[in-house]
Amino acid sequence: MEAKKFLLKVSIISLSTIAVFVTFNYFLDIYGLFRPDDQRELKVYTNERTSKYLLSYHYIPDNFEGIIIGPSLSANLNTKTIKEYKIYNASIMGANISELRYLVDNIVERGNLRFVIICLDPYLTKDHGKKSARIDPKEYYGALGSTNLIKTYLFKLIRENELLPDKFPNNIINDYGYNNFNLELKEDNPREKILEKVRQKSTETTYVDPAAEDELGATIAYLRQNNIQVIAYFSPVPHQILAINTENYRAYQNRMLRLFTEQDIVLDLNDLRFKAITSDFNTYIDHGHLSEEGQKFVLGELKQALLENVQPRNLKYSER
Amino acid sequence: MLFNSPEFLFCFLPIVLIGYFSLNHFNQIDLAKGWLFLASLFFYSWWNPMYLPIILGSMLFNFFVGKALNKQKDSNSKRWILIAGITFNLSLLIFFKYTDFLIENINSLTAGHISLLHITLPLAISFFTFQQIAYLVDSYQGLTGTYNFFNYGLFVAFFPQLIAGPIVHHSEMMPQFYTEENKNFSYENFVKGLYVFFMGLGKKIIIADTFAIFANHGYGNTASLTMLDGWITSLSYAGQLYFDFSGYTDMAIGAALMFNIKIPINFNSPYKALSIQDFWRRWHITLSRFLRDYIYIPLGGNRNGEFKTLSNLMITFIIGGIWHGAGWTFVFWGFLHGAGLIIHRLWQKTGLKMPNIIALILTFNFVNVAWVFFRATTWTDAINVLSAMFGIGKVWDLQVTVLIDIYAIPMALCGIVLLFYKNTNQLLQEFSFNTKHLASAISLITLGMLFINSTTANDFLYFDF
Repeated sequence: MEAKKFLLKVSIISLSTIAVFVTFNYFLDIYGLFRPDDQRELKVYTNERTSKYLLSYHYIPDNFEGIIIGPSLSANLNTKTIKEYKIYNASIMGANISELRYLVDNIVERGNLRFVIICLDPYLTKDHGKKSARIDPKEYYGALGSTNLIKTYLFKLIRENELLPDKFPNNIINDYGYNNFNLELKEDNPREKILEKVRQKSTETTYVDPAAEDELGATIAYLRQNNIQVIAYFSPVPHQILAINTENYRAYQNRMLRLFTEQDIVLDLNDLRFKAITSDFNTYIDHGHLSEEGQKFVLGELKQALLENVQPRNLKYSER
Repeated sequence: MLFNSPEFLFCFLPIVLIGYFSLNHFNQIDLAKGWLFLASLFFYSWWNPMYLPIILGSMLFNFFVGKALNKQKDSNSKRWILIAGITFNLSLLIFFKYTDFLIENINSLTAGHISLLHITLPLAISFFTFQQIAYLVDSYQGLTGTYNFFNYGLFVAFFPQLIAGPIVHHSEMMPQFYTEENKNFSYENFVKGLYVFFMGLGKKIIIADTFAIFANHGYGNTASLTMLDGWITSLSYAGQLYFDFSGYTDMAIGAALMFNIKIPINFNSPYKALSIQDFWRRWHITLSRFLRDYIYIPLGGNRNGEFKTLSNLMITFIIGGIWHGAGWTFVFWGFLHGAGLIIHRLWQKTGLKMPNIIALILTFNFVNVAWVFFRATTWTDAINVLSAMFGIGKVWDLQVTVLIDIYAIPMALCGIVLLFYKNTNQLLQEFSFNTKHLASAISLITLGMLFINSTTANDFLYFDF
C-alpha cells in the first residue's frame, strides 16, 4: 500500500466510524438535546452533575414549570408526588450555588419557568466556583460521543436490566430528577448519628463564602427579573443539633434573609412550630438528610406554599 | 493553543499546513517560511499576546548578536559580545523566573519584608532562552551560517517545538528549511507525522491525564496518605510526567514531520534505564545534550581530574534542577540526580556488576523518589509523601484512598504496561503502510477523538518550566 492510499483509507474509515458513532448517539439522544420530544421521560443513570446539566438544555425547560435547586439535602425530594405542578428536582449532590447557576441559566433562557424553589443550607454557600469540570458547555458536544456518554450507556444497561441491583439499583434518579440516594446508602441509625454530633458538641459550620452569597443574591435577582416566583426554604436541621448551634444558625438565616424581598417566599422549616418534626429522629436518615417522613414534611410545606402563591395550570383557584 | 485542543487540530494545523505547502507549490518559498513564522507567533500569542514582545525582542537581540559574532574577527571583542549576549539572555530568564524566589530568600535571610513582584512567567522562556544561548555559543565558535531574520525566527519559534521543546540545535533545523525536497507535501511524512501525533495525543489525554487524577489527589492530601497511598501517588506522578511530556514530544515530532521537518527525539524508554547515567541518556535527551555541551564541557567536563569531574557533574545537575523551577525542592531534585551520577561513577570504578533487573529496579526507584521533590510544592508535602511510602511515623495501614476514580484504574494499568512496551521511536521505525498499521492508526485517531471530546483540555506539565 502506498502512502496516499493509506491516508485515504485512514481518513475514510476513521471519519465513517466517527460518523456512525455520532449518528447513533444523536438518535439515541439520552439527554434530550437534539430531538424535540415533549413526551420522553429521561432519567439520570450516573454522573448527576453532567447529566442534570445536559438535561437543563431542553428536557427540563420543555417539560417542567418549576424546579428545585440545592445540594443533597433537597436532592431526595420526590417532586413527582406533587401532582398539581410539574417540578423538576435540579438539586445536585455536593453542589454549590455557582454550579447550580449553570442549570438555572439554561432553564430560564430556554423555558417558561414559573417558579424556582431554593433549598437554603450553609452547604449551598460555603464555597463558590465549579468543583469539577463536569459542568461545562463542552459537555453538550460530549453527548455526541465521549467517555462520559459510554459510561452512561453502561450504567443504563446495568440499572435498567437490574444486573447489580444491590450496588446499582434501577430508578435511582427518576424522570423528575428525584435522587433516591437512600437506595444506595448503607442503613444508618439517625438517632446515633444525631446524638453523636450533640455529644461531640459538633457545631455544623454556618460559614458563608461572600462570593457565593453574592452569586445567590444575583441568582435570586435574575429570577425576579424574569418574573419567576422565588420560594426558598431553610432545610430542616435536627432540633438536637440546632439547639447547640442556635446562635450561629440564626445569624446564617438573617444573612440569607437579606437576599430576599417581600416578593419572595421564604419558609423557615426550623421554626419552633415544627419542633415536633425536626426533633423526631425518624425525619432523618443520618445527621441531616431526610427520610421518607422528612421528605413528606418538606414536600407538604412546599406544596402548601405553592398552592397559596402559584396558580396550578390544571386547577383554577376556585377548585383548590 | 494546546496540541490536544479542537482549535489546534481542526483549525490551526490544517490551515497552516495548507498555506505552507500552497505557497511552496507556487514557488513562494520565502513567503512560505514567513507564513510558518507568523503562524508560530500566532500559536505562541494564543495564550497571552502580552508575551509576544518578549519573544520577539529576545529573537531580534540574539539574531543581531549572532550576526555580530559572525562578523567580528577580533577574538577578544568576540568574547565580550558573547558574554554580553549570554548575560542578556540569563538576565531575562532570571528576571521573569527567579525574581520572586530571590526576594523570598533575601527576606528569609535578612528577616526583611521586600514585597514580591508576582511576575508572570512568559510561556516557554526557559526553552527559547536555552536554544538561543546555544546559538550564540556556536556563533562564537564560528559554527553558524548567515541566516536572514525569518529563517532565524523560524528556527526559534517553529511552533511544534516552541513551547516545551525538544530543545533543538540550529544545525539540525536550519538546513531542513533550505532543503528543496522538504518544500513539497509528502504523503509519507504526513501519514507518519499523523501516526506519531495521535500516539502522543493518546499518551497525554488517555494515560497521563488518568495518572494525574491519582497523583493530584495524593499530592493534594499528603498528610493523610497511607503507605500504599504514598506509593500509588508517587508512581502515578512518575507515570503522569513521562506520558505527559513524552506525549507532548511525540505530538511535536508528529506535527513537525507533517511539514517535512524532523526534530530530534527526546525520550527513549527512560524507565528502562539501568543506571542514572543511562536514565539521562533516555530522559529529556535534548536538555541533557544542552547541559552537557553548554555547561558540563565548558566547566571542564572530565578533563581535570576525578574531583573536578564529580563537582562539574554536581554543578551541572543543580543548574538543571533550578532550570526546571524556582524553588529549593527543584534544587534538591537536581542535587539528588547529581549525587546519583557521582555514586554511579564511583561504583563503575569498582568494576562490580549488578544484575540488570536489580539495576533497573534501583534506578527506577531512585528516580521515583527524586520525582517526589520535583512534584511537591513544599518540603512538608515531599516529606509527607516519602514518610508514607516508607512507613515512617505511620501506623501500618494498607488502606487506599487515592484511587478516587475506579473507572480510571484500567487506563492507568494500560499505562503501566505501555511503559515496558516499545516506545514511539521504535514504533515509528517499524511503521509501514500495511493493514496492521492501518488498523492501529484508525484506532488511535478514533480513540483520540473520543477522548478529546470527553475532557476539558489540560495543560502539559512542562509548560510550567
